[in-house]
Amino acid sequence: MNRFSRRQILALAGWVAAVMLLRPPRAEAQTQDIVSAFTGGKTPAAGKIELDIPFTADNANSVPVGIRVDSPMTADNYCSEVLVLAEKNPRPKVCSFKFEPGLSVPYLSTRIRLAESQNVAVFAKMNDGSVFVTRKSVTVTTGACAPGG
Amino acid sequence: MSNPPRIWLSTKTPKQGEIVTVRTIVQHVMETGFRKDADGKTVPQKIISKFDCTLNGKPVISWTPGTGVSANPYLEFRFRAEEAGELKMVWVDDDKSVIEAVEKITLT
Repeated sequence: MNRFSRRQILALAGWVAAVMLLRPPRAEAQTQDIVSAFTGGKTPAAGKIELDIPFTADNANSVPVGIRVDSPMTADNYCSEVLVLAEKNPRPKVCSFKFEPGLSVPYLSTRIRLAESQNVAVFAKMNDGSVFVTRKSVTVTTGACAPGG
Repeated sequence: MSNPPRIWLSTKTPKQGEIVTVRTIVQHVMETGFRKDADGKTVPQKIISKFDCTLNGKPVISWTPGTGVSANPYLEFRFRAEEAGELKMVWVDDDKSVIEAVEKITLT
């Protein structure tokens, strides 16, 4: 006779599988650290950010990204920081920007690398600490980390 | 560092308060530190890790590029022309070498 019943063994196996599935991979944990450092623990709200990025990128070494944050940029209401995140890149933090009220306009455009098809997330922090996020999925034909790429 | 950065401004003579668009591109490898050379040695990281733009010393935009920014980093940004003066742009490399550019802004 077995010491454990068939039911007990199945339950244990199921539990182990669930734990393995739930445990986030390393890169994802890294992304979460970057996000929580930026948001200061606040839950980002949707909106306020216009993200202009192609649906499919032919050249993953140079993907154009355009960002515009809806903010009046007055001394008591302005966008202070913007973070660009590519969750599946070896280093998920692509770049960040800082703005000041007065001369800054929260508009920018640059070109980034994408290791593979993924969501690109843009976070914006306002001076009152509120955080906004916009995500867009980008399909990449050949990743930026491919040999010769 | 051989070539100076290329800079385009929508206008160098804006009206006061007008929003001016600036496009900049600077030649730089933006080496990620992930690549290996033909001998299998890792190519060390070398990127532009800081960019700052100021108008008469007042901050316009501050950029912290990572390895995920493309080679020959391109940046387009805007600023509100509240005063005439010098629009100064500074790129700082990992090895602390600096690329600078200045554009004169005159109000009309």
